[in-house]
Amino acid sequence: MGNGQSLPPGGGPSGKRGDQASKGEKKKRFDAAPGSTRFGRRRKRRGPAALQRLPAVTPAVKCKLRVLRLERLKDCLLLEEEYISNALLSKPQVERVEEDRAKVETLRGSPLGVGTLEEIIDDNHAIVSSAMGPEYYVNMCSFVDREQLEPGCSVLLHNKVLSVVGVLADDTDPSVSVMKVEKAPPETYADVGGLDQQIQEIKEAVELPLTHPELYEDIGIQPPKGVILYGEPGTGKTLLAKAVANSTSATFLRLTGSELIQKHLGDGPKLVRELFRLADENAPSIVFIDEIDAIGTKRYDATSSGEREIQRTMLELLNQLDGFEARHDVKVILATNKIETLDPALLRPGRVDRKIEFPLPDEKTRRRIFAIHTGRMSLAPDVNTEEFVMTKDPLSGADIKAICTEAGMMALRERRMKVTQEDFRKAKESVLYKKQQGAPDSLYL
Amino acid sequence: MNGTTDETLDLSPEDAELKDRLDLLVDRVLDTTTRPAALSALGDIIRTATSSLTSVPKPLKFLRPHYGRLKKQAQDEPNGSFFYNLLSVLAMTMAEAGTFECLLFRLRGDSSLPVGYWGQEYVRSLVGEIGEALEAGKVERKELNPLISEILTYLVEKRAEVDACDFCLEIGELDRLGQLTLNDRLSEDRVCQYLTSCAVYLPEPENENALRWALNLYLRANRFSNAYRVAKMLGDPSLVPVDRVPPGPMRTQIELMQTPRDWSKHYRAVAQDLEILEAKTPEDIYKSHLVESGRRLSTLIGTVHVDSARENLAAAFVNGFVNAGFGSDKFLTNPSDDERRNWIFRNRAQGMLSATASLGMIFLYDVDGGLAEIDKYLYSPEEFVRAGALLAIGLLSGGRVPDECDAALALLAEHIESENNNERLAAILGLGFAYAGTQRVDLMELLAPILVDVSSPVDVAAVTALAVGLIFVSSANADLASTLIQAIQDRCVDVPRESNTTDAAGPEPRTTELDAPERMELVGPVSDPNNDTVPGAAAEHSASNPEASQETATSTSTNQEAEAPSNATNGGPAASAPSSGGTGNDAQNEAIFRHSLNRLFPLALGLLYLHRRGLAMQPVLDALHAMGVQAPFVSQLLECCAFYGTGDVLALQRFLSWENELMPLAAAANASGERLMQQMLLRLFDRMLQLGSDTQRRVVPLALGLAFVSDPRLEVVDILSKLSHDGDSEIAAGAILAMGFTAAGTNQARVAGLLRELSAFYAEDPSMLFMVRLAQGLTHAGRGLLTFAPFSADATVVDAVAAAGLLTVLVLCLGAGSLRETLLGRHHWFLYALALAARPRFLVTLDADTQQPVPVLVRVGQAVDTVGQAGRPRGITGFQTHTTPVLIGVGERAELASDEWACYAPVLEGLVLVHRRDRVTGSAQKAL
Repeated sequence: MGNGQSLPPGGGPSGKRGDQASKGEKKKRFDAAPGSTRFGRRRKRRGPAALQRLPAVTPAVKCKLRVLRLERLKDCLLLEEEYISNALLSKPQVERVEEDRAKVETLRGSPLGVGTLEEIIDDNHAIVSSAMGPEYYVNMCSFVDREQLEPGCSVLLHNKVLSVVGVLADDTDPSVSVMKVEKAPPETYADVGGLDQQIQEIKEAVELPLTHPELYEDIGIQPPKGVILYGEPGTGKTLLAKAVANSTSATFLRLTGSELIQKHLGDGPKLVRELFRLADENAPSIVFIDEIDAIGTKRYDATSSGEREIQRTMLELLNQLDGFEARHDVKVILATNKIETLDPALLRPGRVDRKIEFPLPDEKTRRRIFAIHTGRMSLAPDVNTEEFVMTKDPLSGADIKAICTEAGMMALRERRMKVTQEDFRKAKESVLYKKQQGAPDSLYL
Repeated sequence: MNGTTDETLDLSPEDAELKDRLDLLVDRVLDTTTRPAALSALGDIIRTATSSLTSVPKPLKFLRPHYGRLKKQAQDEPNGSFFYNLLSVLAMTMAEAGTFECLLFRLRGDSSLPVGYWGQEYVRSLVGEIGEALEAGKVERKELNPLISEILTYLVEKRAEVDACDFCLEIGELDRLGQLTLNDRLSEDRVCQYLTSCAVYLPEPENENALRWALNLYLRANRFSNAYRVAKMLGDPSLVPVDRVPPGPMRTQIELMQTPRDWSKHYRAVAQDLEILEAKTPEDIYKSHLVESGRRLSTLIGTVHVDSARENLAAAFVNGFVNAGFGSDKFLTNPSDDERRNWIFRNRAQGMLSATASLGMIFLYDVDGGLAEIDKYLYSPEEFVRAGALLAIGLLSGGRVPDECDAALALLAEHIESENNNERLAAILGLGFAYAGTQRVDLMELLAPILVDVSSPVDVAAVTALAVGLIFVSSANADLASTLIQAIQDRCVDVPRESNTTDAAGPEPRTTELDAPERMELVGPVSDPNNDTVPGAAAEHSASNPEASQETATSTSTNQEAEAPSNATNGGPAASAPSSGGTGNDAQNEAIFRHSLNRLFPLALGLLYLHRRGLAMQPVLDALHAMGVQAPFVSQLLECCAFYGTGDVLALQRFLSWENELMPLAAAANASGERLMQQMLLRLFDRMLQLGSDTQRRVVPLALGLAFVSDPRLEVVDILSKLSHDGDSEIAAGAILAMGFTAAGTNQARVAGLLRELSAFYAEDPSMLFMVRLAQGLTHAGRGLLTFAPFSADATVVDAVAAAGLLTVLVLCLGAGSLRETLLGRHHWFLYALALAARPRFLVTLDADTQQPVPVLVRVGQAVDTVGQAGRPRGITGFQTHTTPVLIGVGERAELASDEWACYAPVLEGLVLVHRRDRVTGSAQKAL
């Protein structure tokens, strides 16, 4: 602190300028704006973040006061914009940006090396190591953004003198960015047969807090943070999540619980952190974790380090769900078949407030599921699905789909253009038979 | 899914059944014989329908295809039929926008049906349509009257007071609030708080209206102290006449809010309670043993060697500020005569003045004790000591504490014509300090002649102007304004060119070349009353009848407007003189105001209109224009003051287009007091530091200091701390002073630590070190018992006197080289203007009967904005429970912790009367 050479922040030229002659001379030379001398990304996030973030506007209820305050905020932003554009107009150096950029390109040179920043020595020097092994004491060029430099990050090195000429800013785990759903799945709410109650609940818990936060504020409650979908296999949990992804404009991140289990110690929790950081950056967002029982099982005295690691991953998840740091616009959807095996801490209110059960479909729902799946099939006139709807066998939504597909396959096998009732009957039998076969037998116990 | 067939396919059996039923009912409605029964059945179905949060109820959905038919069928129905009511509900979702069918059908329908019959959502949509329809002129206002009243009653009944206010604001009929009967205190509070919060953001005439209605509601509920607070927001405390308030605790409370009583006593009692009575030396503040430095800073205290003049002076200031109000210190009130003399006579000339005047700070709020102590310095052989004593007398009241026997006036008045220039300046300024904000006419009579007299030296005239400005702060006194404009014209506009370079502080012959009569003629209608009649008489007239003075202001302005074009058209020598002074000498005029004392004239003019906003200020701007005062500095400083604490966006936009050093200061003045703009200001200043011109960059730290007085937020201190190491010494000095401002009276350890580091960093630079010392003194002002924030009562009421004190100091520090001239030069004693901004930040609870302090449990925490929120949200967060007396900082709020006590004040701040609730039993009393 306090070595007289610290420059003003943000790079305005400091007050003392040379006399006219030297000023004119200076103009000819390339003159980069003095950057901040502050190193490290973390600082940046903490410091001026308070300035970047807009003040919170209260009350959240719809009312004139809120409108007035929001307008005031907007006016201030407009003024800021106006001020900046005016200031830039009066400053000719902005026109030189293009020129500057070209200059930087030439300074960088064309073939570049990639190295790791080991240590920052002072404002202009650092120690880097290249992939080959040796470490070098090199220059850092003035145009490198100091705020992005931190020990351990990848830097671009000049091919001959090895000076630092750029930063490779990429600290998000690539596996996390893969989780982001770029293309919405085709399934919509209309493809969900029945489950009206569940759809309404998930809408209230996940979509409405993101789109209409004022409804909750009106009544004075905190919107739920997340939901867990549970129920027999094949009852439409994942389908509903897909429908949510399809209908929302929020960022949708999806992953399965097993993806969080990593080879190296500490990678799993790190992945969870990265995941939620990404969600926070792209807020509003919805995180969907399928098969949460892969990591969310009850804690017990684990003997192997692998199990302990899985538990640690879950603990990190617990912290991210309702930890110290508040995340407002991140909603979580969990899905599992075995809710009873999950850790109670995961399910406590405040983390996952809503538990939505997906029961096996009743008759009405089965009818609608059949209607949905047979709606696009070419059926023979004799087909009456009512027979299967009324059956006593436990049929899940997935089973019904399987029956329809199987029936279609049979028709195909016999090269018929229509699917007959007989096909359906056979299909049902085979599906049910296979289902029973797959179940664990009491013999083994 | 497309087409209706799919939709019917998709329906569940219950839905299909409902649809069939509705279809049947609609058919029956179309048949006139079965209509009544079918209508009521339909109504019941609609009324009982529920749905999820955001979707339309099913019956309404299914009735949608029939809406057109039903509408057609209704045409032959007589007015007042239930059919129309039903259609009105249907129209809520089905009518096209802009047809207002929901409203129109309701008007034709059965008006005896309660408006809440169809539920909250229906009322909301009706409210929306009424607002839009009135704006579009589709309906007559009187036609709606009964409906509007019914809706309002309904809303208030359902505890949707905020909606009711919105409705009234929307239709521009706030007077309807007066007809409502509010449920209880909570309801009143919600309405009034909502109105006062909205008022900040409403355009100019409307905001006053909203405040007035809040005032009326409080008055109607006999909650006078709350009403008084709103009246102060309106800038007119006389709206709540104290004699109308029934005698008793409530009246006493309002009197306490008006004029603080026994401040000094309570102040010292609080200090005793907090065990900080022990006087502190500057060294206790500097804590140089903690400074990490190779060279141990051996400060002057206790050691005889190394005393630079600056260091001694700084110690005098620090001693004054730190021990402010305690009535004792280690040096000036030391029993040993030698010690005292030593303290003062270590300074030279003006330094002696400041050192003596610090006695006024030490005895702040204690007029009697102070006078006894100061008295002996009045007869000192040394002129600077005498002058300092005069200033100290002025400081005693701190611009707030009433002085029953007018001792200050009696003692100071005889010196205002003194031969000695320093005594004269000190006496005049002392008068300004002592009677700041009192608007006393006899003082104007006393001071105005000096101002008008062209032969009085310019520094005397400037200080007189400031004193008058302080006394009449925020009064919008038109007569005084024209006197000041005249003074500006005399002193500043037409000064001969060469005087630009001469030292204006010295007495100068001010005989202007332009022959006076000609100019008089030019500005005839304005200046006549001031020059021909006794100024006091005019002022008396205006003071007795403020409205009349307003009228004269407007009438003069219209006269000028009439005159201005004639000046422009005739283009004769008389007219060209001022205009050439305006255009050709524009730059020169600006240069004149670069001299710090000259700035006091426009500043005084601005102070008259402090926080008065645009409408009140406009006549003066016109007058300035008409009188040929072209220098933008004058009008800009006027605007800067007039918009102080208003949070006016349009004004901010205007300010941002200015190119001189006033811009950041004006922006900060405008934004302070409004939370959102304050925060946005930080962003703006961040940009300004990057992109602004050098002159503006230099003012940014000072402006930050003004916007965040006594509010050392992390982000602000961060910026200032960075700037305090800036290569530009003026930015650095400004930032250091601003750090003192932001931390003033808070004792904040973080700022104190930063300042200690700075004291090591600037150890070699006496000027910078002086600034650091001042900032340290401010940080520990009153040993943490004072606040300098010019906003009281939960940061809603602008304290004009305090704001005037702050602005005086900052305006003197503005611009290139000013600091060197004022604080670092000979005029450092203007720093005592900060005493006007100081205010004890204690909360003392007094028993309503005995008026003696009683300990009461209170919670103190960060204030939360709860206006317009549902339920009874907590007003504070992160609180701690204390027993009064407690200290309350900026952004903090206090609440009574138990129901045992009830208080009379609207805000727990300063002196508050409390009384025990009746139902309190003996056992609970014991528990207390």
